[in-house]
Amino acid sequence: MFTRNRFLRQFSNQPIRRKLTLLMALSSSVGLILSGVALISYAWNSARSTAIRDVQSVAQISADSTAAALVFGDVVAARELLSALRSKPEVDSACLYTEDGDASALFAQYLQNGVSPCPATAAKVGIHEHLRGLSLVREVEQNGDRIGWLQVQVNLQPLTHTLMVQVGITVAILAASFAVSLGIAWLMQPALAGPILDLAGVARRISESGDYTLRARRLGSDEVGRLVDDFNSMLDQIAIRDRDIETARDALSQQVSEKTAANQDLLEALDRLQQTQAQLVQSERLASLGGLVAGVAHEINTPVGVGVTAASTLQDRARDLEQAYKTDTLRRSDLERFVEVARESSNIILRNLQRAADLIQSFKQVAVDQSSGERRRFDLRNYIDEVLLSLAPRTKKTGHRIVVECPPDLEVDSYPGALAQVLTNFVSNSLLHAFPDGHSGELRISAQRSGDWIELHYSDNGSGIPPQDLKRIYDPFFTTKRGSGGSGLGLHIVYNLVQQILGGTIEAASEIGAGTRFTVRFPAHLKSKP
Amino acid sequence: MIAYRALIATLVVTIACALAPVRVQSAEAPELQVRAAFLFNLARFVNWPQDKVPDPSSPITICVAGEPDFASTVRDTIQGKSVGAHALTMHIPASASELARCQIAYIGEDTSLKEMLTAASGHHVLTVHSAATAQPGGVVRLYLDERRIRFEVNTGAASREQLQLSSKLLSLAQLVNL
Repeated sequence: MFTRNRFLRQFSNQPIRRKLTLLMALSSSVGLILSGVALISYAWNSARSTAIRDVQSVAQISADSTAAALVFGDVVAARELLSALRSKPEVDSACLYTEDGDASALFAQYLQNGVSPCPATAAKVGIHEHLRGLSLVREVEQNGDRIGWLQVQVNLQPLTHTLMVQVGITVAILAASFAVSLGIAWLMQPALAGPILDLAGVARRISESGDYTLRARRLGSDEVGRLVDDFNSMLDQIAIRDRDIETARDALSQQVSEKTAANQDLLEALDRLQQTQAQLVQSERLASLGGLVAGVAHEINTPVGVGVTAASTLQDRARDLEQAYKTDTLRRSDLERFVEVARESSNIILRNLQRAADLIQSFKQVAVDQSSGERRRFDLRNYIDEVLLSLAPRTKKTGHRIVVECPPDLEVDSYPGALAQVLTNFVSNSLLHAFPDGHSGELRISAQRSGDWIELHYSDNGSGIPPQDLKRIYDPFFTTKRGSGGSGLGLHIVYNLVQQILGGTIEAASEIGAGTRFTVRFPAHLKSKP
Repeated sequence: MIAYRALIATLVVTIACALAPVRVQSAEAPELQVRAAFLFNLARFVNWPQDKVPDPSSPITICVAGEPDFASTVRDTIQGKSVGAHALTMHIPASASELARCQIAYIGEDTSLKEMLTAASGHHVLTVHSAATAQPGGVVRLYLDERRIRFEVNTGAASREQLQLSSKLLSLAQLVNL
């Protein structure tokens, strides 16, 4: 098996020309060899059987003719009768044996040239082959009785010689026809291998040069011709594909450059947008500062108004007193009444001015925090109250109840401005969105310490936020009230402040009709400045 | 060792004697035996007419007239033998007329040869004799030539008695036509 595989491998590595030539020559030679072997073996067999038949008939005749001589012990006659075989050159010897008891004894013999002497006793009856030819031993009979044996030896060497000559001629013919078939195959193989080699050459040139415009020649309309056609149409398709790919690549690169330009525009737009957004955030903060100022003005208006009223009343009474004094109509009772009024008025003025001063002081703190963004230690409860106070002008008229649950003396070291902005935006959102039908609700702010963190909850019991909106509340410019006061930046600012300034986290939960709840967690003592 | 060899030699001789009594006899005996074997062998090469030997298994009778020693030798020789399917029997004719029923008849020199031959004539009998010359009625004559027994065939007598003698036989014989 190994040698056969190796042979096949070696054969399949040969050039196709040699394969074709070898195949043609081998197949014709195998036919010749087979027919030669058949012819020679048939010739040998028939010659041998003819020789056997000949020796059989010779032996029969000799046995017949010598029977009487054998019986009557006439050796001379027997020898003479056997000598008749002289006419048969292929007979080497004939030996006649007589019965000697149970054994046999040589009775008479004929030797052609002494090459094959007779053995002393008869061999077994039958045909014996030996180098020189074959010998036949048979019984000599008369009336069905065995009276002796006869051995005839024939020389088959001339026959063998003839056969050898035949074999030689056959081998010569074989060699000659092998050579001729090799020649014919060599002449014929270009017709077979030529187109294939041509095709292979074209394929190799294409793969080396990458030139897909080359085409294979079609040299006939057989299978190879069809292969060439298919190959060429494949090349056509490849060329078409190449063109398509080229076109697509051009279009793609154009698209890429367009997209790059568009991308540049987009980047610039995004840049502008981010700048605008920052500006908006800034202006929103300023706007809320403005709101704060408005609230402050409104809040201060009351004590100042009361003070003005009291002061003008005091002024009127002072003018009346001055008039009465100049006309000397001043009575004692007038003076006592004036002193009473002056004391009350000055009390009112002082109290209200004190009130206004207090308000300004606390508003100033919130405003400074919001505008300066300074970090400091502050009391959370007081600060929440101050922020709520600044929001009071907006919350009072709505009638909402504001509940603050915060333990006193909860000191925080962080950015109060950011916290104020966060709370302001929570309250503003509740006022703007939570109670659309105008009824009063409850706003609840609770804060407690949780380890190193402050947990601040803000909730209202308003209409709540739909789930699909809840996901987007921190997105910039996302608002459901655009055109009626919503900028869409409030919670975005809250988110950024909590994350970036307070270093905390924010979560929102809401249920339609039950309200919205924000949970803000931030460090009670901020580790480092952001 | 020598005794052993002697024993073997004795055995060999004894066996040889037992097996081939024909060859080892008194000085005179071989001639009688050869002649007896001759008679027996003659039977192999002769075809008798249908009415003399009707079928292949019919017996063949060899008669010996006179020469009682030879007669007993012939009896011993053909004892239990046959030619093809023909059984061989031996008969000593009491009179010349008895020769008519023999297939082969040896007529001894101590008998009246002419009378015997005449008696056998016309009965398809293969007559054999040892006279010095050929006899008109005798088919086969045995004679000695250089101490070998040879024979002479009278083809005329054979054809008269309608005996077919094999050409093989004739090729060995001297032929006369009387």
